[in-house]
Formats: sequence, C-alpha cells, structure tokens
Amino acid sequence: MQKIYMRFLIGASCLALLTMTGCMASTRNLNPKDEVHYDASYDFSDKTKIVDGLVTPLLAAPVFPVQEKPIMVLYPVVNETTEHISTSGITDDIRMKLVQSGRFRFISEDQRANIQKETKYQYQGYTDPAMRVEQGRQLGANYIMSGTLRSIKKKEPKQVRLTREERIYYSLNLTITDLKTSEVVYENQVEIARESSKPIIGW
Amino acid sequence: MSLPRSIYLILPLAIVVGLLATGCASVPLQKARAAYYSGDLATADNILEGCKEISDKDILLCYMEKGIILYYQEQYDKSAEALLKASRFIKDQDQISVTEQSSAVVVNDRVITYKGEYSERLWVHTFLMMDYLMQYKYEDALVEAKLALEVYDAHPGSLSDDRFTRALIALCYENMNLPDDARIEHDKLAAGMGVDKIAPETVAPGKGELILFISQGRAPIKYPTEIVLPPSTRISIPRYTDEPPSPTVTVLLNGSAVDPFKVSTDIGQVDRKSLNDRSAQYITRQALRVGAKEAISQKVGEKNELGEALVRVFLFLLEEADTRSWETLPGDLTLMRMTLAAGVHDLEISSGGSRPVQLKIDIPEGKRLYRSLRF
Repeated sequence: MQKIYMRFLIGASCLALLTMTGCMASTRNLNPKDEVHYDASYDFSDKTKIVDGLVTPLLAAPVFPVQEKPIMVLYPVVNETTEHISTSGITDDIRMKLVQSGRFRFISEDQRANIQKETKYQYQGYTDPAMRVEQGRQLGANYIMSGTLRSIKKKEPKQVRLTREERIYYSLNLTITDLKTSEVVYENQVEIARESSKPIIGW
Repeated sequence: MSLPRSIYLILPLAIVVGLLATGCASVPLQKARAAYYSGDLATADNILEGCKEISDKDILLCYMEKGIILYYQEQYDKSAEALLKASRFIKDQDQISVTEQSSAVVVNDRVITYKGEYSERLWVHTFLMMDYLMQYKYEDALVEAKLALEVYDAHPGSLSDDRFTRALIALCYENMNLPDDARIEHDKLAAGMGVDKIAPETVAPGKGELILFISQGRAPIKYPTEIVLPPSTRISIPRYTDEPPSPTVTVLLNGSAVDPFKVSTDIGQVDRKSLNDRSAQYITRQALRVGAKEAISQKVGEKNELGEALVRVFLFLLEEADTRSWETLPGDLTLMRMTLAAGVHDLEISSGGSRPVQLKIDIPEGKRLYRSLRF
C-alpha cells in the first residue's frame, strides 16, 4: 500500500515539476547575426541581410571613386509590403555603414526641421553672436539615395491538408540618382524568399 | 429509483461553470457598449482599459470595440494600436483547436475563442486604413489596404457587397502614387456597382481634395433563433437583426447643394452574408452536438431514468447560440470625395433627421484633407 502511495507521490511530483518548468518565464541573449525566424514575415535577421546585401556591393561599385567622397541625402525607404515595417531601421543602418566606410558623406534629411528650429533660436537674441551658426553654409547633396521595399505573398490554395503553407518574397531596391542630371547612376536589389508552414489543427 | 449522490453535486456545478464560461465573461463588454451608445465614450474606453477583465475567448471583441470607441474619440493612433492587436489576434488564431471544438460539441459554440465573422475581419483593416489616413500615414494605410485585399481574396462571396473598403483601398494606392493599382480597384468597384467606370476627379492646380468618412446608425447585432424538437433537443442558431436603412447624406457647400462622388456600404448586409456563408460550419457542429447530447442522455438513462431527465434539462439549458459580434460598428459607412478650390469653405452635412454637422475647412493646394463624421 505504501509502495503505491510512494509511486503516486513521485509521479505527481514529476508532473508538477514538468508543469512548473514549462510555465516558467525565461530570458536569454541572442546573437544579432544569427538567423532566427519564427514565421515567414520580416524580422531583424532580414534587416541585417538586406543592409549587408546592399552596402557591400555599393562600396565596391566603380561609379563612386574612392577619392571622391560624394555627398548623399538618404530618403526613407518606401514600404510597399503587407507588413508594418519600420524602414527607418534599414536606412539608419545603411547610412551608418556607409559613413563608417569613410567613402561617402551624408547630409541629414531627417534633421532638417530640427536644424532650422535650432538655427532660428540662435538668431532670436539668446545666443552669443560670436557663437551663432553661420547661415547658408550647409552642404549640398550630389546624390539622392532612395529605396522601395516590396513583398509578394502566396498562400496555398484551399484543399484538404494538415498544414497551411505560406511563401513570402521580399525585395529592396536601392537607387542613387544624380541630383544635377537626374541620371540614375546606381541601382541594386536584395531579395529574400521564405516559406513557412503552420499546422491547421492545434490543441 | 435513486440517483447516484454525485449527480446532485456535479449537475449544479456544471451548470454554473457552463453559464460562467458562456455568459458572465462578456459583462464588461456589455457595459462598455451601453456607455458607448449613451454617448459616454470616455467611460466606454475606461471599462475596456487593457482588456484585462475580458476572457481570452472574447478578447478579440474587446480589441475591436476599443478600436471603434477610440476612433470616434478621434484618438486615431490609439485606435490603430487596439485594432492592430485585433488583426494580429485573428492571424494567430488561424488554427482549429481540438480542445475547443470538442468542448463545443458537448457545451455550445460560445466556448470557442471568437475569431470574428469574415466581414468583421475586413472591418478591422477598414478602420485601420481610416485611422492611418486621418493621421496622414499613407504607407501604413497602404499596408492595411493590401491586408484588406487578402481578406477579400479569402472570402470573395461573403464580402462582395462591400464598396466602401474597396474605394478606400483605391484611395490608399492613389496616395502612394500607384495609379495603376488604384485603377484596378476602381474597375472592380465599378463592376460591383454595375457602372461603366469610376474615375475620381484629378486634383487640378489651385485645388485640393476633401475626403469625408461618414458613419451612420448602428450595425445589426446577433440574436438566437430557437428550434425545440422532442424529446429535449434544442437548436439555437445566430441571426443578425434587421436594421432600417440609413438615410441619404446630403451636402451643402458654401450654401449650395452639391452631389459629390460617394460610395457607401451597408455593414449589416455584408455581416448577414458573412454569417450565412459560415452557416455550414456552425450547423455541422450543431448537428454533432445534438447527436452527442442525445447519446449522453441515453447512456445515463440506461441506468437511471431520473438521471436522464436531469441530464436532458441540463444539456437543454446549455444550448445557446453564439451571438457574439462587433456591436459598436456603424450601420453604414460612406466615403465622399470632393475636389475644391484651395482655401476656406463652409460645409453642412445632413443625414435624415439628425442635427446637421457644420464644418469650416481649409483645403490645402494639391493635397488631401481628411475628416470623419458620425451620425
């Protein structure tokens, strides 16, 4: 009788332990360079892949000789996908890598309003006249850098099956336009295609 | 004839659990809806704060109701936040739960997590589009337009009477300077409306465009239709109430009557069609439930007649139609587009016997101005 009771107790303890460990919250660090995908949709691994895929060939492109250091203005990447993707993360990373390469100079399009506000403030009499920023000295861009992120999603047609499969194709086109001539001097594209499946029946 | 003692404990307990699971969970939702329709939007919003008191099975309704309440409070960013949660929830719940389906075969359809009617899944994206357009976030509006198209593709028959969302999708494409995609949507809209062509007026130099989102009335709600068959079979099927059509919207521009481009959708009509198209699903479950309940009753009756009678009463009482629906939706949605000379204009918009809305608008040159009205 005592043996049965002990077995029951051990069994119940094991079950309780399993339940508790299963429900416990956990946190761990991930390497941002590792590719991790939970489903077919856009994630941070894609951002890294897109940025690297665009910056590396651009740095090697003969259009921009090393000694030139062209001045660029980077416009936000237009999101034409079916997901709410913050494309400013892509543009920030592209700009950072290009600035760090020392091959390109950038003017800050997204800080224009703030620059105007700060300059205006300096000329309102609060700032030491000798320390005021001289107006009309901003750099002029030679090139506009712009891009469009697109996606094509395909789901399996309705049929008898146990899993639902989805394919997504992403592409980011990067274009550099000469501001003086309107000529598109550089274009490149990064593509990502992914398939994911999800069971139709779950617990 | 005596009953096993346990049945006296199990039956009342099961009834209480059944009732709790199906009815009480939606009390905050009912309170919020009542506050909303009495015009107290702030209270309605507070009741649904964080959706903490709502059961997981009804959480989608909370997100959707909250999205509408915030939309009509002109808190478009927060409304979008709530509706995005609804959108994500719908996507995550795109799976058949074995446990829920099994419970539904014995209890009723209200034990299943609410996933929204096909039409409601579309309205989530419709209101998200409006939320983003009201904030001039054109890229985000386009994302929702594309997601709305996916819902159209998934349930073409159920949603064929919706015109408003289609016109909104075309507008989103226009905003992003994608005229070909806009034309395709306008062509589909024209085909649905039985007209040759729909091409909104282009904005000429010195002009701008006013876009009005007009909501009228309230959407129908679901009610149960009961069928009782001997000896103790109760069938309870959800139906949408019939609401009277909303009156025509009239516009006075600077004192003169105008007839601008407008596209309307009767929300109730689309909701009813969606529910009808899903009827095979819930009637099949209903049939299985009738069989399962009869089998349980007969099994109990083999040993105890009084027990069978009690079980039959209990199972009869448990039968309840799933009448959950998005109840704060308007009855009609109208999209109105007016190309006007840049500058200030006086508008008076009327809907039937409601008090007319006076608007003083300043149309920016070459741009669109968005306004949302509720009658």
